[in-house]
Amino acid sequence: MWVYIIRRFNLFVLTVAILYFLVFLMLIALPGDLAVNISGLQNPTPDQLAQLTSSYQLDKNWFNQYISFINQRIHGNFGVSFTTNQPIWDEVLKFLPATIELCIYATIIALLVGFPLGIIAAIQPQKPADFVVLGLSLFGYSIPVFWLGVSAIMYFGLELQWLPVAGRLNLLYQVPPISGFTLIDIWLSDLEYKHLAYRDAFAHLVMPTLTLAVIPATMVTRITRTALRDELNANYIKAFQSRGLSPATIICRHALPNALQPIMTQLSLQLSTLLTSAMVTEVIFSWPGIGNWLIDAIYQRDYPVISAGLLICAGFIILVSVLTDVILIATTPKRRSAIDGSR
Amino acid sequence: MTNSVNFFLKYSFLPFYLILVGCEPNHVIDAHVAPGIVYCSEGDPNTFNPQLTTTGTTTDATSYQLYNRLVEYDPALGTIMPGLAHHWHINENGKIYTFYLRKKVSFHHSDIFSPSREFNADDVLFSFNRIIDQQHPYNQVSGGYYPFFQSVGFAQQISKIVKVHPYMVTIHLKEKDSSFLANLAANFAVILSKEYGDQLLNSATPQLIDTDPIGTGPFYLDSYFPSSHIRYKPNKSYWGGAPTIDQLVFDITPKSTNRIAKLMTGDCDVSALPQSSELDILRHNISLELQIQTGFNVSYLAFNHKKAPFDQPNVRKAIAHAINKRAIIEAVYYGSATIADSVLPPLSWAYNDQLSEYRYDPELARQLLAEVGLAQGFEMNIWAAPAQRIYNPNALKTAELIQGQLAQIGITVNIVSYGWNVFVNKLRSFEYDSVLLGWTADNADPDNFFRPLFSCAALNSGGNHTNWCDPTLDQVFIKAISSTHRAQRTELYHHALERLNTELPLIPLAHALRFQVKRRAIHGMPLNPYGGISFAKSHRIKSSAPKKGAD
Repeated sequence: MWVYIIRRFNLFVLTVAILYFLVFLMLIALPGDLAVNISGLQNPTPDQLAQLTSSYQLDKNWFNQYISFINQRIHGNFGVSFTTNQPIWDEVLKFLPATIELCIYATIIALLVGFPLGIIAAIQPQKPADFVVLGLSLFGYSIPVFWLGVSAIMYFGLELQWLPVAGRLNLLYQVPPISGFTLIDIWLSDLEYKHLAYRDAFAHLVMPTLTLAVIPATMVTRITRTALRDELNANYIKAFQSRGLSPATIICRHALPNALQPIMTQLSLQLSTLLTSAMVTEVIFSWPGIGNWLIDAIYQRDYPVISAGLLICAGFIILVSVLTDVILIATTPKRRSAIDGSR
Repeated sequence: MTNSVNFFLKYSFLPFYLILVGCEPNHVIDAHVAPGIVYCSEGDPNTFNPQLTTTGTTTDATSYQLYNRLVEYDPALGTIMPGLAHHWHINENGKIYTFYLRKKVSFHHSDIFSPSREFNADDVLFSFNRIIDQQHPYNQVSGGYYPFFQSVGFAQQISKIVKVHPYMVTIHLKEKDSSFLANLAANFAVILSKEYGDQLLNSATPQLIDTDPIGTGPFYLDSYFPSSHIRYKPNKSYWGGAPTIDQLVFDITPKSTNRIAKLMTGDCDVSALPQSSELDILRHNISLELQIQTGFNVSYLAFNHKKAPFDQPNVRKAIAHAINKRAIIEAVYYGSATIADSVLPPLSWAYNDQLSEYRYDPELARQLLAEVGLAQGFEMNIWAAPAQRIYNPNALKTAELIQGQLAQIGITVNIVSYGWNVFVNKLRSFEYDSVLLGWTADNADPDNFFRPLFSCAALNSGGNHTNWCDPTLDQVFIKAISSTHRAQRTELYHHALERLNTELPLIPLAHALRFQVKRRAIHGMPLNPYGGISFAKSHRIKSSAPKKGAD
């Protein structure tokens, strides 16, 4: 077990080091002075420049620079943004909750829709229900997020005018950003008519959340179907069947819990897909999250923000995949022995 | 949208999209509890003090919401109206202006400031001395740039400002200036609080005067979240009558399509700068009202004429002949603009219709280039901001069109672009060969198109982007403003336009129409041809739908 964790940890450190190296190369290659691009301080005073030179070892060779670049970044110093002159880490904290909120709701919907559909398809293999579910999931999986989002805006927003198409809340509701999560902030605010604000917040959530949920939902469906079918073909299920256990008991008590484990593994690998779709969705629906912020940074040539965004998003995905891996291994002895034995 | 697509969308996604709405369409609009107005603005203000800027985005967000001027410009009548001065007179030689100030005008309260006195002459002196007196403790706060005032030579024209008694101020000019009152009525000439200034000096935080504004205007600043929104609350003791709305929110929405979408779905009530391409959609929407005004603006391609080869008039003329303005107006403005022959719009009384025209003629352009030995062409850059302005809805597209047109005479154009704030800052360094910009007049005086753009003084203030400094032309401008005879002034401006047309420091491209779009329920918002938007008298007339909530 420990060997495995250490091995994973080494892999994590190495991947992150490579990621940092690539971002560092990018900063060198970008137009402008490295001191400016790395710190975000435009026109630094001589004092500031001296400070930067020492903290980033800009007078030393590239390897020293690279090491001190990592050193500064992992201590939370991401420099300041060209456009706002605010510390980038503070900006990240400002925009991240919106992205997380969107992703959480989309994931919940994806699970609520995808899980039952996957089960239905798995217990009726090669029957009409299976074909319909498979067809739907393939269809949903093939729809590009940007097309779906824009079509939804065109039809439900502009044509029918049912749903708002941009932002998180009508600005007439004065909700101070305490947690960054709209629904929590409304609850914490001293608004007199919270139910109206909630209604408005939900109306704003519908289209982005559903647009973002489509692809994860189809993935949950397909993964659940495959995992559950594998499990249902196992010998112990046949033994249960021959003993006369009801299909509901077999599925809920025995097959599904065993199938969950591969489902979780697969799903954790889809995090990067979710995050990229979330970025696209944010841009389409003007959702003030990380994706929108990064795209703006690209428009504004805000190099420190672009590099920090890359580090944070990629780092987050690497961290989560390693963590889920470790957790899964820790909770599943079967896998652990297999991996230890095989390598 | 075709029927089949309609059908497809309706039946494939409808169930999904109705799950969370609870099958209750049409609830978005008119269901908001707080009676207020949301304005979809096109960008962040650079500051909350319009003295420090000339950008329309900033003045829209500040001038008429937070502040007042001594005198106000009435766009409907085209005359100067009383503002914080209820009365004024000018002595016989036109050099001494006496202002009688309004009493019982109170400044805003904020978390850090509670005014102990009402507005008086000290505040007028404070506001203007900050600009003209280099020794003033606030002169260098926030950089010491007062672009509008520097471009009209405000500090040079005033000899002194005198407080006669607490409600009477005289301003002494060195020379007669017929545009002086118009300058005082401009969006930028706002009155700040001296008491607030003193308090901030004592607490060693003078820069707050421009970021945490205190004014006398109809609204006070409640909160500002950069790139997100600005919230204003009504000044209940406003001398001109408190606004009837409970709050005013500027929703910062840089993309035009998003502004229109928000307007159609009810997240916004009024929207800035609709794109010309969207006008048809807006006209067909019965809940929206499109307001149109002939604009006092010009968009132009300015040459940095200190840089070779743009120091040669022939090169500038060749480019003028190679640009097809008609095509630009069709493709960029969708016809909602007129071709510009000079910087001055034809509406102005000083317009010169005798100017020789640079017609579209690539052949002639090539000859002109050949005359200066550039027959094989050359490479140049055009700076264009990816931001929408009143005078140019899409500078990047304009740049691309010009790129194509200049390619025909052998000039290779590289387009350089930055975000608006970065762009404006970088312009100061004059690194560009040419830049696509424009100008929106602050008042009806023709001087407003000349000195801010072409005077030597405007070189330092950031309004003069051609690097053009012609002392004889400066003399003409000064002569023109020191005269009050319209015929004489007209003659001088005709002369100036003539000279600008032959020297061609910039190529005027178009005069854009001004648009504003709002929901029909919003009233009391006339469109000002000189820029600046005021919500002081705006209100929402409720439809017959049942009221919900607290209002």
